[in-house]
Amino acid sequence: MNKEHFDYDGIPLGVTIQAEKTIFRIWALNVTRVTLNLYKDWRDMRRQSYPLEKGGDSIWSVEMPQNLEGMYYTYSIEHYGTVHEIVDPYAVASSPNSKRGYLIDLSKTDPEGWDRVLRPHVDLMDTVIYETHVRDVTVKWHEEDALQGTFNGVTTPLLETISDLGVTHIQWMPVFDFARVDELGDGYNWGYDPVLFNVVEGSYASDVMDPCVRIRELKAMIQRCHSAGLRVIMDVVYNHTYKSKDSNLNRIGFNYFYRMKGINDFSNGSGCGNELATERAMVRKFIIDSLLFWQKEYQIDGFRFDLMGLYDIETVDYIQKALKSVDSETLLYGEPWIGGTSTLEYKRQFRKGVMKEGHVGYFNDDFRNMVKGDNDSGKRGYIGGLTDTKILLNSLLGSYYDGVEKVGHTKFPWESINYLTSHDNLNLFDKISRSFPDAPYETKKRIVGLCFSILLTSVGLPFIQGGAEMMTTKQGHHNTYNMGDDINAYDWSLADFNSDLRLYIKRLIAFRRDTFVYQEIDFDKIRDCTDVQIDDRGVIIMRIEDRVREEIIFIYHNGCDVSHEEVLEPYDYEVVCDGKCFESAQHEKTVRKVVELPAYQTVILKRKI
Amino acid sequence: MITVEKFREDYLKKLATKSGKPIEETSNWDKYHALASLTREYLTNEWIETNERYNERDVKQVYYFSMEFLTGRFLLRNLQCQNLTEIVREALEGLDFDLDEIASVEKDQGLGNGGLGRLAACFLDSMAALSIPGHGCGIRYKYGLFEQKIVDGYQVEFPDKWLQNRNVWEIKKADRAVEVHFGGNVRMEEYGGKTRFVHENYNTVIAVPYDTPVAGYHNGTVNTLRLWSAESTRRDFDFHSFSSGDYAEAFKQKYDVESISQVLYPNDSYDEGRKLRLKQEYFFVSAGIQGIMNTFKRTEKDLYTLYDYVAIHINDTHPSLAIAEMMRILMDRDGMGWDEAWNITTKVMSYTNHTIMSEALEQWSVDLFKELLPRIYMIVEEINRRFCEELLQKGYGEQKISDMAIISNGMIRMAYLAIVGSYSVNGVAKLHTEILKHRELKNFYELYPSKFNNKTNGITHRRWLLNANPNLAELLDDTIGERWLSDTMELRKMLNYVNDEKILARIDAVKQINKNQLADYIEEELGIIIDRNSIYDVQAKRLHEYKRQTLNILHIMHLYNSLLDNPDLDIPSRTFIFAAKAAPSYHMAKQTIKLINSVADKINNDERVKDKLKVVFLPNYGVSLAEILIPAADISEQISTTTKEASGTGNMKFMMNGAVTIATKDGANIEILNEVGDDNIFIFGLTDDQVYKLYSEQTFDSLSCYESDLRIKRVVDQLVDGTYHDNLDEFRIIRESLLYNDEFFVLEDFNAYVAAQDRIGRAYMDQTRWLKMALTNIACSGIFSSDRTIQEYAAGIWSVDRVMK
Repeated sequence: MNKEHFDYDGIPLGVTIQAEKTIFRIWALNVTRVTLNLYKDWRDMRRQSYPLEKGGDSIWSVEMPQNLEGMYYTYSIEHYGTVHEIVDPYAVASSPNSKRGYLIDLSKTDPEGWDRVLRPHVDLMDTVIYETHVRDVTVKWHEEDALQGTFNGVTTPLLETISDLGVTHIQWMPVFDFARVDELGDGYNWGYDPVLFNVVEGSYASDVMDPCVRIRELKAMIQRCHSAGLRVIMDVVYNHTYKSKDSNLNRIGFNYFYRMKGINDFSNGSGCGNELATERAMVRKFIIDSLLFWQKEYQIDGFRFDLMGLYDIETVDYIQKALKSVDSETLLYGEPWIGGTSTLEYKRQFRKGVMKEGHVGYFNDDFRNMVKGDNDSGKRGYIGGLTDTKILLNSLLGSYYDGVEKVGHTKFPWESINYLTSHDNLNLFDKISRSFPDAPYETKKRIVGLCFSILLTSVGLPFIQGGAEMMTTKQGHHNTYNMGDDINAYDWSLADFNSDLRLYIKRLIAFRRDTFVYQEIDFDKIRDCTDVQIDDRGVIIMRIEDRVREEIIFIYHNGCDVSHEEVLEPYDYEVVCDGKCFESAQHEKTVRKVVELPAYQTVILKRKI
Repeated sequence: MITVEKFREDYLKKLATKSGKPIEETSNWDKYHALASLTREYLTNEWIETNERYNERDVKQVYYFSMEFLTGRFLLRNLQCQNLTEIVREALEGLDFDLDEIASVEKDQGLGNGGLGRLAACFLDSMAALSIPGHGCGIRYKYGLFEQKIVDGYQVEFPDKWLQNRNVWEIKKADRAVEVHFGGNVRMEEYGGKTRFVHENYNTVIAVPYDTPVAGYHNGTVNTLRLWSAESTRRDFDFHSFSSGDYAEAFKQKYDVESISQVLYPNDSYDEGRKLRLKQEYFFVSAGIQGIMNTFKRTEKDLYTLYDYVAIHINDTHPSLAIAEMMRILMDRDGMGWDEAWNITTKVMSYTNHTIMSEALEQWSVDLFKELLPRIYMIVEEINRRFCEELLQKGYGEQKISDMAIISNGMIRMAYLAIVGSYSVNGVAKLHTEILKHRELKNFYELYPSKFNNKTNGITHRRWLLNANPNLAELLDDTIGERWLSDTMELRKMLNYVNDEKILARIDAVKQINKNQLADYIEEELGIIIDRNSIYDVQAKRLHEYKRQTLNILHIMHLYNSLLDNPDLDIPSRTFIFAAKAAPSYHMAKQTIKLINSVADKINNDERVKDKLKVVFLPNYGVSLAEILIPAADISEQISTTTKEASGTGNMKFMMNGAVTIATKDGANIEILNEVGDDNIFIFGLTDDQVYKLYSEQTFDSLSCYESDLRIKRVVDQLVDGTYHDNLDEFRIIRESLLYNDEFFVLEDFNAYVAAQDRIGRAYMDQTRWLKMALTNIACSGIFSSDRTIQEYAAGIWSVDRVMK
């Protein structure tokens, strides 16, 4: 590698189209020739070619004296006598199947009213994230083929059904251009195989032939999310690329963009064949440029980073600074682990608790594991089983780093993304079915309800895997990334069937929003007024003292398979949640002396101080 | 003048009488049958008039003798010739019938293997178009060249039953039948003071002519293709056996006789059934000459002036016995002496050599020949005796005489008979003729230098451009007017438009239409979806080692390897299309077909290269398939080992349709190069001098090519390492031939071929350059019209004139 500290700020890579000219710029290290190829049609083999000139710091450029909007383009890169044809990594539009870049005026892709609908405002600590997938969520929602599996299928009624739960953020699994789904044919994939990072995936568009359509339709979908009051989180995968040796990045920076163990020997911390060397200047610039592009051009309100352990901490800090300077409310979080063995030193990897300022959150696997047990086996966690109570109780309070017993890892409650399941591994219903194979459906539903009440009454930011709220099943499959609609599509008939569960979750979210401790951002203050214990029976009791409202909240989680009676201190208690929410909508308004804690249920009481 | 209304009226009447059905119940075949019958009827008057014209004007006529006439379909051609196409199309549309659909019902008249037979058909077309009195003479095979199907990647042969549904175009002329005699013995007797030879105890075969009209283009000329069919005489049917209940015996004789015109021999496989092949050759030659002589006699002209009225052309060695047969008739029937007869015969006969491939230079064993054709053998023996004497007198040594003798080592060499008995010997392309003169037939050239001449082959632009590529024809009409149809050199005017973007774009659009049609056809036939924007790289011709389909497929295997190593290689998408029949007994050729199909199977199902590479083998190559294939080609593969392909005519058809050629400097490729220039063709490989040097020095070492070049080693090893077939021995024969016995220099030319293919890729991607190349090829193809060739034959060999209506 030549120089590590490039200063490219202010030099836009990619294509700039102006009234009377089009400028092409690409950074390419140690290559002998770069040629621009212009095509009239993306299928055509015939082209006009123009050499790029090499400038300082390995930037190659050519200025064409006309507006080339509407043409397709590629670059031919010559390296040691072999010429490869690549699509510009900075391309913002492309033909079907990422074959060629497209020269576009993005302003023409804005849907009607694009500049009038603004990002909704959400207080950080009110955040409840709902993860979903364009195809899974729409396929069975619509009867009309044309809307199934498309951006257009994410309609306002659909979004309102989701936002009605009280969630504030909707996290979309990959919508950037990915491999393994033939955009001209059929196929199913979650999309964690990036090809063109700045291009929208074409298979979700109503028309893949016109490169503008997918852009306009994604923007319109985002617009509808915003109108429904939902902030939009984009799931991004800057940790690896679908191709390795023959990826466009490797062709413009041989052995530069990826962490290498040797010539053509890629470090594989992603488990997907390679990992991007985020710590290198041009890789870092590429990622930040890309994130800013999505944030500005598509009004993205936050990002979920896949395998964020592969990002070096310094880059993560650059990322959050850059994005928050544009939108201070932008929400950033990721997976604090990797998928293999990486050549990035452990201490440089983004892991739980490494961020000094805590600007970037992460999925809290402690919470997940303590509550429900492991991911894919029948092993139970707290509910119906045993667990490390120290970690469990610490997790319920946001996994704060206590400095004494060395449990926990967060410095701020927002760092902990509390979750039970996400797209990987068994989904919630399937996990519970595996852990409680003989339980009747109603019992499973109570356990699901208990999971949600623990999730939504804990400190941190709750994250819901879409479908869990109505107990969808993936037929016991734990890795369904390519298993198609039969397994993955949400069965929306369950929304009615389990409407009681959804109502329960909605109330829990409302309760959460009404309870000050979940808004608090200072762990000292939280710990000062909150006490959480587990008693000999296995009941978790969380006591929250609200000195402003002059009331105390008691939350009892009974993870046992039998009911217990709780003898109360001699006060009148307002019943917030009586643990029978699925049996009857009406419950006693108040209790005294004693309250029943039904099996696998949560009871919430309030009394005046 | 036939109008749309008149035609529709005639047609409906014909359809009703031919099919006997109400119109709505008629099948496509009924519709075709009625249309073809009507079309032929429309020709009849002009056909009769043409013959009358030739007779009245006492003109010299040419009889083109050929074992093969690969004519393809007639309907559209015959409509076109009468300027009826548009009228018919419109009339049929009024009935909601589609002309093209109806035309596709016609079975190809596929009475030929490849270039030689197709050349004969093109020559007939050009003679008629030029109003040259010239007719074809051949065999009416009941089955044409086999129908090829591909089963599990292998070629499987089925009989080509082209006559199954009757042949509308021919007319049986039973009254013109003649007898052909086989076997028996020859008795000498004294008659009027002369020795007379009496052939007796022979078996008689009846030769019945079937005449097919060959219409000229908009000129009122209709020549004749006369094909002979073998039938048994009435007395061959053994009533005694029949009535005594031995049916098999009763029919045996009949079947033996009919077998003569039963089946067309595939090339390159003369070993079996050689006797039948010799029978076929003599059968049609004898019948043809008798027919000509009978006709001539009816004119009551002096037999000694025969050569002023008759020219007989021997298309390759197969009809060489025409020389001996004419001698026989002149002497035994007309009572001439040897010298008179020889003088006449050698002023009538001319001969074209088509190949230097040794297996195609026919020889017959004296024993076989003598038994089957005792009288003809005597004549050939006498020709040989006199020829050897002539050499002796000229002072030739014993060895040289033995080298040149027609009969030597118990074999009769047909090519030498043809040379000795003809006044003209021509090759079919400049290089080929030079090779004949200075290598293969050097001794004869030195003996008879004035006999030798070159006539570069040609193709009929009416079938191969006007009919096969109507959109291109229309483009040409619009751009340079219609004169190119009668004078193809007018096509050069297209060069004025080489920088005209609109014309280039139109050429592009026409090619794309043709490519789409072929893509549809391939999808329909084989279920393979090809990239319509890819380079269509086509090799369509007989499967033979010298034509080197192997080189092509090895390059594809190499390209596949390269793409697996570098999936984003900056090369255009390619579709390699093969079409080829292999002779049924030619094992190496058939394994090459299997290899092509195995490679295709592997590559077409490999998702990793789906954007860049597809391989297609189209079964049953013939004229009709060629008419779809050639107009759609971007690249024409003409990659024979230099010196081996006499001319090639496929190369000309591709060129005329705007394909760019990748070629060795072989056959007519050299002349194509001279026409279009270096920049518009991709030349590679060994030159003729280099090839001959390698042969003479025997220095060529395939193994060192293999060992020193990793790319070659990889593909050659992949033939036997399971990459393309689970059975590791499946393609071992190909590998061993390449490594230990490669007389066709595949590995030697491999790198040059790869480099040329690479140049093609770059040129194709260059938007304007490629279209200019395509235009230049079209513009320069005029010289390869068979009209030009026929004019050269007419003036330079046959001395016949055009006889205009």
